Amino acid sequence: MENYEAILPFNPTYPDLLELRGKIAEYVAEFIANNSRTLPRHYTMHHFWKEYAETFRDYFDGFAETKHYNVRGKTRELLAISEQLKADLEALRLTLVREYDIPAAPIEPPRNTPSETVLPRPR
Amino acid sequence: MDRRSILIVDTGPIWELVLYRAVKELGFANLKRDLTHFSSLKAYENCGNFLSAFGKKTTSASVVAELYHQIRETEQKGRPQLWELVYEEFRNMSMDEDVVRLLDMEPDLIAKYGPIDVSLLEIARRNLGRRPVILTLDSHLHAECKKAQISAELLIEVCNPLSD
Repeated sequence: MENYEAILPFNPTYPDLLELRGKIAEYVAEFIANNSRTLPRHYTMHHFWKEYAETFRDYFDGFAETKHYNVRGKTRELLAISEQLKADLEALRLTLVREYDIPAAPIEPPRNTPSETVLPRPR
Repeated sequence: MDRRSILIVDTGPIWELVLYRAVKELGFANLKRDLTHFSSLKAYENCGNFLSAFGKKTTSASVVAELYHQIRETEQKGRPQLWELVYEEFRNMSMDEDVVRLLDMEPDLIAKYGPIDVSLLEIARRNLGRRPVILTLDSHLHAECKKAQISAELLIEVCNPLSD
């Protein structure tokens, strides 16, 4: 931050980040985790990140794509388990319905009306 | 533009920023046809340059309500992600938000322009000392601003400046 504040007088288009001062570390962590090498120009942190993103290169490398393979794989596994659980519960439900000869309870319809599912609204 | 000026942002430009990211980053292809102003990276960057020239950006709580209506018109399963983008845009551009009470607005103006436009004009009026500029894609609001001697910019002109 001190470095950034020192270059402010020479870069009049750079915003001061006084209001964000206490949150800079949080922002930096977020940019690294999201692999945001550059930021859109209208973001308050754009110039700061343009100046200093490179200094965090090592951290970016820690979040390289390959490091996420495990997370991605586990995500797929979890989704598969979830789908299987859903199917198993549905099968159990049908078994109980047949076994006790009771009418199947209606499945709750989606909350949105058909008109809301249409994309997009004409302007 | 002076960094001491305040930019008051209407719904259209914010929604356009959200749509751009939704299409580019989330792959919400169905929303591409709603993207009316950021037809190219250049247009998006021009808008970014314009926005970054202001030290303070604000909008009206009514605009947030209108964003809700925009998002309600999209597929339900993508709405949480669109809201995330709205939050990110607000946070990352340090967007402030002002509340203008109905009773503080002229009934005649409300009847004519609706509470959103009038709230933006009221925010401008409250900040006259800070050279307010309203950014909108609504030509009616733009004309009304000019009539009220409030600076206003149309998003189409911001995206496609004459110098380009």
